[in-house]
Amino acid sequence: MALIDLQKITKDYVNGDVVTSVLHGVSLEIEEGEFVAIMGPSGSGKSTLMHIIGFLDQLTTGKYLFAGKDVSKLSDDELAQMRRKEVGFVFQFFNLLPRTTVLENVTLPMVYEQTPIAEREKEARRALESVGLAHRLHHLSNQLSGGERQRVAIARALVGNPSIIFADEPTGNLDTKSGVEVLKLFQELNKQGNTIVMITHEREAAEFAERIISIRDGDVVQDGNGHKRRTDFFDK
Amino acid sequence: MLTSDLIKTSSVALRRNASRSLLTILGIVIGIAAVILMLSIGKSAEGLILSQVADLGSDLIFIEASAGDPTSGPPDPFIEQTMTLDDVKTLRKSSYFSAVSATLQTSSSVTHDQESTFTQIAGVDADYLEIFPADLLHGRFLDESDVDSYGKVAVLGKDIAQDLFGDQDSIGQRMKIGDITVRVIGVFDEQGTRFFQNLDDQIAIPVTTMQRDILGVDYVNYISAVAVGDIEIAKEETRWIMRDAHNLDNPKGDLNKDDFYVSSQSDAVAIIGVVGGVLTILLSSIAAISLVVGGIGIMNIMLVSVTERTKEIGLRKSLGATRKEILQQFLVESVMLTMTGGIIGVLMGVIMSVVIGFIAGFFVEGWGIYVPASGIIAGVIVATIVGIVFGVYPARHAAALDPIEALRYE
Repeated sequence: MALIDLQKITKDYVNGDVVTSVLHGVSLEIEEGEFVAIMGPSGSGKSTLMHIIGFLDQLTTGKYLFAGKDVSKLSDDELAQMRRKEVGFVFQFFNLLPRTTVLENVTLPMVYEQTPIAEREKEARRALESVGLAHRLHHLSNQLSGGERQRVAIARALVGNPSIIFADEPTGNLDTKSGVEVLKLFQELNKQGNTIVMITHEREAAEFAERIISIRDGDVVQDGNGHKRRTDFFDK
Repeated sequence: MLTSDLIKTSSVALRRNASRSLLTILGIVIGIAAVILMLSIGKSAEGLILSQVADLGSDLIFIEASAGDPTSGPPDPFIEQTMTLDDVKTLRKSSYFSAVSATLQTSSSVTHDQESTFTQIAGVDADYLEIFPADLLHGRFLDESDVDSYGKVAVLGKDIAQDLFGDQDSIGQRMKIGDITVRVIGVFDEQGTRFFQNLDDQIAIPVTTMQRDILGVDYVNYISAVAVGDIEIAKEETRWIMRDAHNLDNPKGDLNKDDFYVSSQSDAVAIIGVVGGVLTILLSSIAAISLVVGGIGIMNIMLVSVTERTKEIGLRKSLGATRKEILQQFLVESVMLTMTGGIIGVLMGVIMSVVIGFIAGFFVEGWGIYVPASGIIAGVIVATIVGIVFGVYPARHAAALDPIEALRYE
C-alpha cells in the first residue's frame, strides 16, 4: 500500500466568475521511504500539488488516499491534525521565528503536538544533531547563515517523526554550496528512512532525488528514475 | 495547546515588542487609575460630609424657607424668605422640642484698630449653644437679654479673635462689623469646621441685631430645633405648627403647598447618598468611555500585530495549529495586555489615592484616606473584559487566515 495515492485529482480556483483549473486529473503514488522531486516551471501546478498532498489545501475532484485512508474531504481542523501528526514542512524562506533561539524554533511543532515539556529539549537536540547543528542550540535564528537556517528548518520538520517531509524550493534562497549541503542532507535523511517530497524548478536540484515527477500545465508529463543521480552540482 | 504553552507563547510575543505593548496599554492604565482615584476622593468627601452630619446628632431638625418640596425638583434660587422670629416663638411653645434657635448669616468686613478682615457673621440667639454645643475660652455667650435688646455684642471664633486682637485680651474691647460697633463679650474655644465653614473664623452676634442693624430684614435663614422623642413625629408636628403659623390652606399636608421645608440628619444622609450615586454613575460613564477608547487602541495594535506576523501564523498553521489555537493565542495576548494595564492602573490609582488623601488631610480636617476595594477588583475584571471584547476581532482575523496565503505573505 502506497503512503500517498492520488487518483485523478483536479484543482480549480474560483475567483468571482472566473474558474482557473490548475490541476487536471493528476494520478500518482508515493511509497514510504521514497525521495521524490516534483519538478516543473512556475505556474505548472507543482506547488498546488504539494499543498494538496501536504494537507494545506483541498482538492476539487478526485481521490486522495493517505496510508490507505481516504483524506479527500477533510475539515479545517482535520487538515490541521494531519499536518500536525503526519507532515513536516521545509520552506524556501526558512520561516524561522525571528529573534528566537534555534532550540525554541525546533521545539515549536511540539507545542502543537502537546509533547510533554520535559521531553522537548531532548527531541529537539536529536533533530538538530541529525542536521549537524547541535552546537548552535542557543544561537538566535538571525545570527545564522542561510544554509544553517535551512538546516534548523529541516530539524524543525523532523521533530515528531512525521510520515513525510515536504520541501518547497528548499534551495531557492541559498547559494550553490549551501544548497548542495541541504540536498545532501535530504539524501542522508532519506537513507535513514525518511520519506521526502521536494518541489523545485531546477533540474540539478531535482536530480538529487531518486525519482523525478515532471509537471507541466497541471498534468504529469514524466515520472521516473531514469536520471543519473547527483550527489553534487558539478560531477557530470 | 497546553495552557502553559499558550501563556508562554503570548508573553514572549508581547515582550518582543515591549515598548509598543506598554504604550498600547497606557489608555487602559490611565482610565483605571483615574476611576480608582475619583472613587477614592468621592468616598473620602462623602465620608467627611457624613461624619459632619452625624456630629449634628440624629435628633436635630432644620426648618428653612422653600417653595414646595425641594426634593421633588430643582431648587428655586429666588425663594421668598418666610421664616421669622415669630416662628421661633411659636415652635418654642411646642412640647416636641427641647431647644429652638434661629440663624441668619452674612459676610462682612470686621475691623479693630488697624486690623481689618472679611469673615462670616452668624446672627443667633441664646439657645444656639444648646443645639450646637461649644466651649468658651473667655467671657460668656449671648444671653436672652442681649437678643431681646438688640445688643451690640459679639462672641468671636478663636482664629478671628487672634487675627483682630493678637495676644491681647479681647473681652470688653470694641470692634466694628461693617458700620456698627460691637463689644466683644466672649471668645470660643477651638471648634473646627461644620459643613466646610471654619467656625473658628466666625463671629456670633444677636440675630435681632443682625436683622435690624446689619441686613435690615425681618427673616432668618433657618430655624434649628432639638426634637424630643420620635424625630419623624416631631417633623410632622413641626409642619402642622408652621402651616398654622403661616396661615397655609393645606389640609392634606401636601409638601408642595408649603412655604417651608423641614429636614433632619437622616434626610441629609439620604441626599448625600443620592449625590454619591449620581457621582458614581458619572464616574462610571467616564470610565466606560476611556476604556472603550483604550480598547479600540488595543484592537488596532492587535490588528497591526496580526498583519506583521502573518508569516508566523502561516508557519504555525503548517505545523498543525488549528483555528482555535491561533484564536486563543491572540486572545490571550490581548487579555494579557489589558490585564497588565488594569493591574498597573489599579496600583497607580491606589498610590495616587493615598498620596492625594495624605495631602488633603493637611488642608481639610477629618479627611480620610479611602482605597476602594470594589474599584480594585472591578478595575482588573473590567480590563480583562475589555481585552476579550476588543481582542476577539483581531484574533478571529488571525485564525481565519489561509495557511498558504499566510506563508506566502511578504
